[in-house]
Amino acid sequence: MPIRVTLDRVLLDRRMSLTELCDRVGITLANLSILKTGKAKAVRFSTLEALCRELDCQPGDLLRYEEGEERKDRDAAA
Amino acid sequence: MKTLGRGSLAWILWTALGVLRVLVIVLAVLVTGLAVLAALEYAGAGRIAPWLTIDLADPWHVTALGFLVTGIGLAAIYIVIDRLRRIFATLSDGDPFVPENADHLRVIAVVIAVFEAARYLVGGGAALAAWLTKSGDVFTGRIDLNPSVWFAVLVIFVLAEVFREGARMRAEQQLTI
Repeated sequence: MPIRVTLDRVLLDRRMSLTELCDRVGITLANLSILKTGKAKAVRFSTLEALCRELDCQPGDLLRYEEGEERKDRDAAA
Repeated sequence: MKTLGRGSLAWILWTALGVLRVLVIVLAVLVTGLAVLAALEYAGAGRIAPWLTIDLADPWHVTALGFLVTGIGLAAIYIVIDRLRRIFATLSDGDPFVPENADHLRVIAVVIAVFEAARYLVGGGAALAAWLTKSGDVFTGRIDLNPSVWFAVLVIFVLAEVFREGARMRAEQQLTI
């Protein structure tokens, strides 16, 4: 997946744990772990809004597009 | 009517499938017993079961073919019932959109198609044998073309693909945060 979630970096900068974040945004720890480890297939705008609100950041701080990864994923799929 | 649980349509169908499964097993045992009796009579044991209406003047392979077709038919019905019960089990678990259900539906479609094709082969083969031997009163055969069966096979194949896509969408939805 060429979209990388950089939630762990933002959490480190804010000195916040995943457990604390899940309590604040109202998302389960399991789901946040899925997001943090890059296993998520999609993110709802409502989730993105809650994360940005609690972490005081922009969506671009949490999501990153890496073009090289797309080619690697495509080659792996083929 | 409720969707799931006792008294629902799913529960009624599940119960009906359970009854049918037992019926098919009983019929299979019965047919096997009759086949054994017939084989013994053909082997020269005489009339063991007078109520068994087999004309011993018929060649043994004609009678055997009849029992074989019946046995294959019962096996096909059992496979279909078993696969339907497995699909219903996932429905009771509250998660019917799994890839396995698409496979179950495919198997059902293939079994129906194979049985119908086998029916044509047996009917056509018997008709050919009657024509070759010129003894129509021993071999009688015909092919009953039934387009509705093939249409049902096509419908089930389509449903299998719909289920497969549904399972994929459900998996994606589970990973949507």
